[in-house]
Amino acid sequence: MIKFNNFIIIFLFFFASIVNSYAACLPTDFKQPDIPIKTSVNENLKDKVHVWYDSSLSMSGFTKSQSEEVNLFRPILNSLQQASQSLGTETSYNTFGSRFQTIDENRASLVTTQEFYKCNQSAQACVAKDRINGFSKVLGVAKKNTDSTIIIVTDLFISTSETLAKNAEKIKKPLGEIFNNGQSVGIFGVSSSYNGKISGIPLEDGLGYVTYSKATKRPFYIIVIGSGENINFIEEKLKKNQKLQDAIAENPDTYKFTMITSNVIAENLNTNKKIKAKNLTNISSQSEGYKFEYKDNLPIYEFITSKSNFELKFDNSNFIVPGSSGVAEYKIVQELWSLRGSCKKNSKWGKSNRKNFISVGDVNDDTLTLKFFEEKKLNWGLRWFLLAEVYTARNGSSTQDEFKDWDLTDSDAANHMQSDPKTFKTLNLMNIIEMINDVANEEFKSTKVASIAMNFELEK
Amino acid sequence: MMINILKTLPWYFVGLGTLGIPAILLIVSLLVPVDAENYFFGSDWVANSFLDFAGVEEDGQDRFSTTSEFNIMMAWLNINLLIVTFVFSLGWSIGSHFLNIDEPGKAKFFGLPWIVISALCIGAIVVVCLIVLTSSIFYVSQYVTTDSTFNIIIISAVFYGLMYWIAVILGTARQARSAVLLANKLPARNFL
Amino acid sequence: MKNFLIGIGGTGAKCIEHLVHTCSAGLGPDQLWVGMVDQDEANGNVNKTKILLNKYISLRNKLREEGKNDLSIESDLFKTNITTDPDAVWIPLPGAEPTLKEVVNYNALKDEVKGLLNCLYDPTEQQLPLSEGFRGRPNIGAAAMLATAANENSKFWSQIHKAIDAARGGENVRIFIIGSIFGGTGASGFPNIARKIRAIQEEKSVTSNVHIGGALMLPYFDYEVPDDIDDGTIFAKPNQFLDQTKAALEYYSKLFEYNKIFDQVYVTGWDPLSKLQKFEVGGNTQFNSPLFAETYAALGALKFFNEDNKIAETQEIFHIGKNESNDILWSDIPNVSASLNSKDKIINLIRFAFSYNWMYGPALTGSLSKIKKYSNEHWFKRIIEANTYSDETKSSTIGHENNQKIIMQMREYCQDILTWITDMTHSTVVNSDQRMDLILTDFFSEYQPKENSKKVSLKEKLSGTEKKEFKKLIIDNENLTLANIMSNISYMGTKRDQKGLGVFMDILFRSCGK
Repeated sequence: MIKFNNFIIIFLFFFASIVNSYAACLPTDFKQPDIPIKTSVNENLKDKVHVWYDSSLSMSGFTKSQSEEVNLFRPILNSLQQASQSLGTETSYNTFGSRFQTIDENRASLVTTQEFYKCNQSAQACVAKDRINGFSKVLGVAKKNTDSTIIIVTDLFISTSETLAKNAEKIKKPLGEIFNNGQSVGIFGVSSSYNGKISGIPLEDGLGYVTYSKATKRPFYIIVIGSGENINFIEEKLKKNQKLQDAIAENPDTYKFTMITSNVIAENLNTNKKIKAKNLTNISSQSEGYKFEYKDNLPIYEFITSKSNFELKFDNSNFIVPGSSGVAEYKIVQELWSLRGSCKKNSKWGKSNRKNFISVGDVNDDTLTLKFFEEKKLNWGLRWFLLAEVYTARNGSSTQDEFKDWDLTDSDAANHMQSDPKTFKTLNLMNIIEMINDVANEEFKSTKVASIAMNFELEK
Repeated sequence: MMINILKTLPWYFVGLGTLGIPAILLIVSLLVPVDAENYFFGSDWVANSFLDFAGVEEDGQDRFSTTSEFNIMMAWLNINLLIVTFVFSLGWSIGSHFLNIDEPGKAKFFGLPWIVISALCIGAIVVVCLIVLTSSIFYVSQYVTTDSTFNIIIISAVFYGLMYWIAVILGTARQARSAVLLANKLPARNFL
Repeated sequence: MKNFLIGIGGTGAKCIEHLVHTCSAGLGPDQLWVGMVDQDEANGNVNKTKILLNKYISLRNKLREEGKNDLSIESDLFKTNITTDPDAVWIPLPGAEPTLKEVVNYNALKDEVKGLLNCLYDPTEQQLPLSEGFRGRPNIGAAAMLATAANENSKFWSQIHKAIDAARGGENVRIFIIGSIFGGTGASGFPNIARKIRAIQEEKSVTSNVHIGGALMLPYFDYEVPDDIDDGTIFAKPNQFLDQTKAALEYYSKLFEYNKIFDQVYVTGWDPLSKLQKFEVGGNTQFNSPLFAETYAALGALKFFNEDNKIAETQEIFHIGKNESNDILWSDIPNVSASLNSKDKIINLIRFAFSYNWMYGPALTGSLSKIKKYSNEHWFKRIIEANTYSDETKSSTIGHENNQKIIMQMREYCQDILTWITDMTHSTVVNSDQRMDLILTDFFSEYQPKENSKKVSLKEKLSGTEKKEFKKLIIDNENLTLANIMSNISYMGTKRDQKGLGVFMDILFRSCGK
């Protein structure tokens, strides 16, 4: 019994010393980096969805069939309604454009009918109201509900005056708050059949607006404001629509999507310990002295090597919001210490003044590669400790340019109309998209992607 | 033959000592701790001449300990160079007594073997420098830049080459002096 | 001490040749006068020895010239001051064709004396012309020698007279006589000349300080008498040597018993007899090769003259021979004294002769501009240039005529040494089962036994391979190489009183030693 106790004591001693030795073998001025902790999500607020339908008269043209073209408005909106129900338990329906109001489910169910878009006011008033999109008002509501998902269905046919000066601010300001709260804006464009009157087309000389009735096709838009996750959920649901799939198969330009966000980082890699040993690609985990452990969510690679440069590779899908523009540029905060001799408690590490010893490999859509000591090799015979904190420096460009085909500028509007087009473009589409993008970029904040430490001995 | 060798050896040591003694003093000064209170010994002038302190600081290492390690490396370098020079010069000096100089005028034909041995000596000096300064024996060798390495090699080759040459000028067997550059200019006396 | 050596007949002359070479090696006394006795004035060996003596004396004088070229008093090379007269040969019966009849004045003799003479000598013997020696007839020689007076005015006998006068003055005088017990001149002259000397001593009433020694050569060579020789010709017949020796020994035993003429007698011979290749009756064609037994006689003389040799009151007779096997070894050569190792000195001389003849002599021969190519070498700078430097010309005088003469003469002398030792090596054992294991000669010389006057021809130059054979020159344990000699030359110190070329010669000589 006594022998057994002694054995236990000895074992514990060694264990403690090993643990302690590991714990002790760190630079004295090393500070544990801040790792974002996983916050619990409020289940009650999570799934509120607000659907806004553009009730302007022009929208009714989507509800009438057109013999030559496929109507995607109805099936898409049906899918959208189902998807919005699935997103959360509470869904509210609203209209904007000619009437800015909340509607009940019965009314909402008429959105794919002409009845929904009827204007009961005077013809003059209906025409005047039809010209004003009111998109900015919806955004104003959206900014107040930053914990909900906002879905806007509209033809996004916005007059130029609505994109200028104070009106532009009415769009930008709420967008700023939306992005500041970490939300994203997804824009779905579907080219569907159209049988109606498009109004608010500016004349060439700038004196007034005209209408156009000859279009058989034009795009409508679903704008989703919410988390990237929810936007991707909606996209997933819409893409499952068979009619849409058939239409895309026939003509890929039928469907366009872009997501604009100020923060493309879905999650810090340290939070859920997504960094693994295998991420360090050119150091074998079977090699002598290799150890990989987490210390308060900070992964520390410990090894002995004679290689003077190594790589860390991360799968983008682990931390970047899917469908987002991704990260165009990273920033790395890097610290390095060196120690001569064996690593013990109170060993005197020296802080290196080396700079830029970690670089990012070619940024692509799939992986993030961090390259260590590529430019200037480290000196062997020392023990090194490095700390790398990876931040986003600039988001990638969204795929907004694919909407350019559908864009109609103010100056081209008259000509476009005079050409008797079958497919009518959307006025100031790119203006709006670019405005959204610009606000997103302005609200960009550098986000920490990952924190990694390495404690290694470099041999010759 | 042994007596003739013993007659020449003291002169050999005189020749070797002209530069050998400064070399030994240098080695001693390098082995004495850097912080020793002495103007000549314990100084860091060698490290100041060849060590890349910017690199040392870049790595976060401290100057003092690196200087100490560097001095030890340089001391070992000079010890090995001294041994190489001693072996080659003594080998030639004793070996010159056994050259087949059996008639007048034959000594100068052994100039070629002497040149070969001298070249081998210089080569060995360079190799020793390269081994010490570029291999994994001394970690502090990494803080010697390429230019400094080159300078150390050149200075060592010149200094120890000169030491070798002076030693063999005086240490070569009298009958073989014509084989060694300028050795035959030595005065020819009963004692020299 | 005054030393006198008399070589009688051809054998005596040959033994003197051996003695001169051993003296040049440093085995001899400080001073020695040499004379020869031979009725055969033109004897080849006598002339050869005369030439050799002149070379030795000339070279020695040049190399022991104080203040000019001086080997120094401590040098063993040409240590002995050999003197001789220009006409060093005493001819007992001078004249064109002297006969015994004329010598004894036969016609003036009384009849009974004539009758006695007729009994002792047949008419042929009485009429024998004696200009070419006594033809192996010691009876004739003895009579002729006794009939002539030891004339003080003759150059030969004047030396003897002076010697005895010096003895009277307290000087220790040693006289050594070498002759053969067989043959003609030697057999007859050996006891009679000794008697004459004792007679002079008695005349001058000198009772002490005169010691006479002798080397008596028993038969040691043989030769084939040609079939075509005239029956009437009188010559030394080899088949009579042993009988003559027997008779002579009986005579000497009686002589030594009753009459102490000699203080020390050294007796030697050779068995089997060495075969001479050519037979000559006499004259300058009677020219025989040096043979090993003659070295014994020469060393006997040097032993006699050595100061360590204490002359006893009673007569001493020494005999020596080689070892019993067929091989002649260095151990067969006796030491002259406890401090003078004959083998070492002779080896030293042979090596000196070799290295000088092929290495250093040629290097120093020629004008200064030719020799100058060695001017950077240590040995040249220290030994040659430093000691032949002229303040007037500010350069070495090695190329000057005087120095060149010495260099040439020394080279000739070295060739004589090499020829002597080579000839002796081959001639002693030719056509016999014996073998002389003293030196290797084939790599530097050629021996032609059929040649009379020049059996040995030395190579003009030696190849590298041949020079390497120098290591094996002496059949001995020591392996001295030419490189060792060069090394020794470079390191050996000079002596204080050495001058000029004497420095180099002595250093080279010492460098060839042990």
